[in-house]
Amino acid sequence: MLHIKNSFLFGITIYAYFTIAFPVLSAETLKIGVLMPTSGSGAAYGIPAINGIILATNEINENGGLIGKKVEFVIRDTKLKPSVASAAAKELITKEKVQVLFGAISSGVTLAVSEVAKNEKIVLFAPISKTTALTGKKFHKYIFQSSANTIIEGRAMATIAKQIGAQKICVSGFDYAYSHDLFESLEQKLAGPTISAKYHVKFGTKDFSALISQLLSAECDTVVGAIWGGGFLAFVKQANPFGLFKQKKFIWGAEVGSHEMANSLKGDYPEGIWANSYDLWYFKGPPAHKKFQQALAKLEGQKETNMWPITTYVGVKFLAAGITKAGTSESEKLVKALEGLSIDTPLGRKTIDPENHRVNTGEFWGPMKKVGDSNILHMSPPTYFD
Amino acid sequence: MIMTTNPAFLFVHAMNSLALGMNLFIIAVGLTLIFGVLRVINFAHGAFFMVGAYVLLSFTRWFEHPAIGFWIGAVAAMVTLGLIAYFVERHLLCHLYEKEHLLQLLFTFALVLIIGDITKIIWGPLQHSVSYPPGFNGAVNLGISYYPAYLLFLILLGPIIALFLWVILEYTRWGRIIRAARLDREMLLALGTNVKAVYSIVFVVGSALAGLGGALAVPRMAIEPGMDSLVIIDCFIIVIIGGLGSMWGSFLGAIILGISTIFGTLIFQEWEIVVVYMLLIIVLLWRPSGLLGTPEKERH
Repeated sequence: MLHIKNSFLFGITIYAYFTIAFPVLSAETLKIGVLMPTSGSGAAYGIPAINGIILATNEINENGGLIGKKVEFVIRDTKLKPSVASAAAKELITKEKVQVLFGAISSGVTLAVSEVAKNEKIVLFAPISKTTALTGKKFHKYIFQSSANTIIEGRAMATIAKQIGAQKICVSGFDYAYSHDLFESLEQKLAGPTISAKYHVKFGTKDFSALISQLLSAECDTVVGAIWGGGFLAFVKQANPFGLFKQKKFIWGAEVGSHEMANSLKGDYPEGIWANSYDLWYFKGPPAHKKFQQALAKLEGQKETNMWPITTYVGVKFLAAGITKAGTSESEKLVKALEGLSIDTPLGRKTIDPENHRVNTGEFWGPMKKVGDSNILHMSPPTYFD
Repeated sequence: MIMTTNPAFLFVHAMNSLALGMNLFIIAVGLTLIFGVLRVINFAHGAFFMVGAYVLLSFTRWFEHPAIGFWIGAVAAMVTLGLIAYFVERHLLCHLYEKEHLLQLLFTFALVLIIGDITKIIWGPLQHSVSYPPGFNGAVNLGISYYPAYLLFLILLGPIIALFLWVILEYTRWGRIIRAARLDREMLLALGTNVKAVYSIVFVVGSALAGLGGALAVPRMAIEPGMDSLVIIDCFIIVIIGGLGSMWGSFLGAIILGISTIFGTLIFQEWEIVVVYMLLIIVLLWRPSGLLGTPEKERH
């Protein structure tokens, strides 16, 4: 059966490839290279993320473009692999002559692209990857990070842990930069509760039997997790028959509180766990948020929109504001223009820290609950932590 | 390490190893059957597994009753994959039997990419989930510990499928022909056997098992693009350890992979992946044709 909504999303991407990615070249275009996963398991994030880029680009071009030029995005599939992404980044710079890079998804992949940006002296705007290594240990002046980073997420987790009365905490995530940075940040911010055990699983694993047994036997009262996407989905389904979610309190990051995750799991979603999301279509926010949601709903063809578009939408808007302020997309001037820049976003005013190039982006956090007759859980009430 | 001395904890891990192994066996046995007879390494076997999962997803949406949707969907996954496999074997793959192996590899790899894109067009790029079928969503008290009913079902289904295939291969006329095709296909042709039909049947049955494996894996994992990539690696590990073409070899290989994955994660944590590949190297050095495989020189 053709699922209209999903096919529609895919259709938008195909449209993007042919209209945004391969435009008729003219001297009056400003080319930005986009690195997103559009195939394999990463497509679930990459394709909705591209919707945010399309939305922002359309708005910019309808208002006359940037510095008198039409903005065009050239999209490349990273396949969620660092080597593929860095090769694609080099190709975008040398062959496509893009002036700025935008992406990617998954911290390991973005760190690889960041190395290319550093060597080629070209600005990389990272709207989704959260590791603080990007703008910390591996910082260089051409990298900018508009995602909610692991410091902000770890701080929110620490606050919630105290709020729900956690004493001993077990942490679990995929064994890579994001989870390690996140739990380090959590440990630093914890006041009262302590981390009693850390369980890291192989990146991308689909079998969580061993982890579930370890968590069932562990002497912690609260589990803080960071396994994301299909991994979280599989973990929940494998843990449910063991009754794991009834035995301990759960705080789970990595955007598993998104509507798309709740919609995928429906009745299997563990009620009462605290989770986070960049955006929620049902959030009663400021007029700017309502306007963004309406435009996104129109683009996606569904009222219950995806969470990822807001990240790339805000990223493109930052980039656009920076290029406008600099009057050019030339790297050195663009870096200067972006440092300290503030813009209004659908979720309030955000600023790029001139020191570490991080944006004060937060996320919604809250317990996942049944609302009305629907079997799709909602975050209720959502609180914005930044 | 205190946990590893707890009998209930060890029991649950042993059962988890079997459940993982048996789910993978249902998929890998199809791959090994196809290789044994057709001598084709089918990279698209993982993609067939993925299609099986998506077919089940559609059936659970078409039928309001979850049990009907699930079980009919599982059968439909087998049938759909059988039909796809029949088309692929009869109209495409059959032209490559006399060509070099590289072309066959390229062809099945191309199938992986084509099927990946088609599934994305039909079912979209987002993740989907299907619940356990009614009656299988809880845990059963086994005395020593509670254990999920669905995993018990998988643990029982694996040996049933293995025995069923064994009886067919050992005691039926078609089984004898298939075994003969493994050892000497030229002789079989000379005796007037319809080898074309044997090839089609084996490819259809092997692929249908991949479809069933995909459908049965669904309650425990996300249905998403790329879900085939890890499975095909596991399947190759199983058939290499067990012996390419050996049905019981893949059964044994699946149990070994299940144990090394589950206990490897428990004991070595993030080094678990090394355990599996070390095992693979040891088997290849010790018995290059796999634990229960037939050495190539014994074939004709």
